[in-house]
Amino acid sequence: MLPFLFTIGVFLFAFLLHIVIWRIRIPRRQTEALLLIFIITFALGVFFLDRIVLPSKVALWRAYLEISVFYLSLVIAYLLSYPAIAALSPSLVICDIISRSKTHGVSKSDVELLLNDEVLIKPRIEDLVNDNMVCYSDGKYRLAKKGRLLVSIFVLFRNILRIPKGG
Amino acid sequence: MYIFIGILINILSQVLIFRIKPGFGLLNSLILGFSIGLAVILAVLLGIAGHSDIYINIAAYVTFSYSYFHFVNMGQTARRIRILREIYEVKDGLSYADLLSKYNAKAVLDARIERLISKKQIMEENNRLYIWNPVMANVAKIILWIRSIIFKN
Repeated sequence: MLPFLFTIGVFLFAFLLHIVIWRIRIPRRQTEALLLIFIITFALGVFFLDRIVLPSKVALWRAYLEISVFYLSLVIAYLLSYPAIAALSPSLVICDIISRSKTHGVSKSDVELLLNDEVLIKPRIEDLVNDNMVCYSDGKYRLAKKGRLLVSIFVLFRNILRIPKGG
Repeated sequence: MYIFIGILINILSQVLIFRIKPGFGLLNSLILGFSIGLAVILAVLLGIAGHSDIYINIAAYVTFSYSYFHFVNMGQTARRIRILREIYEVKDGLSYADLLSKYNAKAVLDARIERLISKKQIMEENNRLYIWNPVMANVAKIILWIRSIIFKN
């Protein structure tokens, strides 16, 4: 149970650190900053565990491996979830708007007024430019190397599953 | 490591199930793939004598499976991925206006509302939308609360 609890503890510490930093100032490259926080916190946590809590290294390689793999899974899960938290999924916002209206309900046109291109599309394009996925020149958006690699993975996967574009 | 074998079996099962029977539904294929992978991992872990920590391995498997589910979901619903895909399909790039002609807020809302109605999360009556099943609305409240903790405004 200790490896499990230790990993959760380190991850929660990293998450708290992330909140503190974000409330002071949101980094321009948020994903990179998050990755740095998680890596540094993990390194410090393992150092603390290795040198202070468990100085004997006998037969602990399996525990460290399990800790590393579990921590990696938590980090990947959070990094994938973070954009949905930061950008707010339109589906969740729609549900929130409707639930706040209680028994009155909401018309589709009211939802469209609140959630327009300036709210739903433009900020996402700006995110892609800030994350170096897309570059803007001569009045056009073009894929950067990073963006091309990312979209290729999704295109390949969707071709394997044979499902349409989505969005 | 057993977790990665479980994840591989999860993904391969899901892809196979969906390819053979697309009518089964993407979500159902993900659930079934997850279950098959979990069954394999449990069989391996419980079969190994003196295995130290089953919890951490199962937790890692569940978290990786969530990431896979999220990856598939991103391909279906993420606006950034859709925008990247629209630009990818045009060799010369796209202006903002061109992009909006292919993918815009109205398209996003139409797709999401249709999906929410088909999943019985919301309903439409007399041209007004109402909550049908509060699950998504409650998830929205939780996400908004988490967001309010992370971001100042």
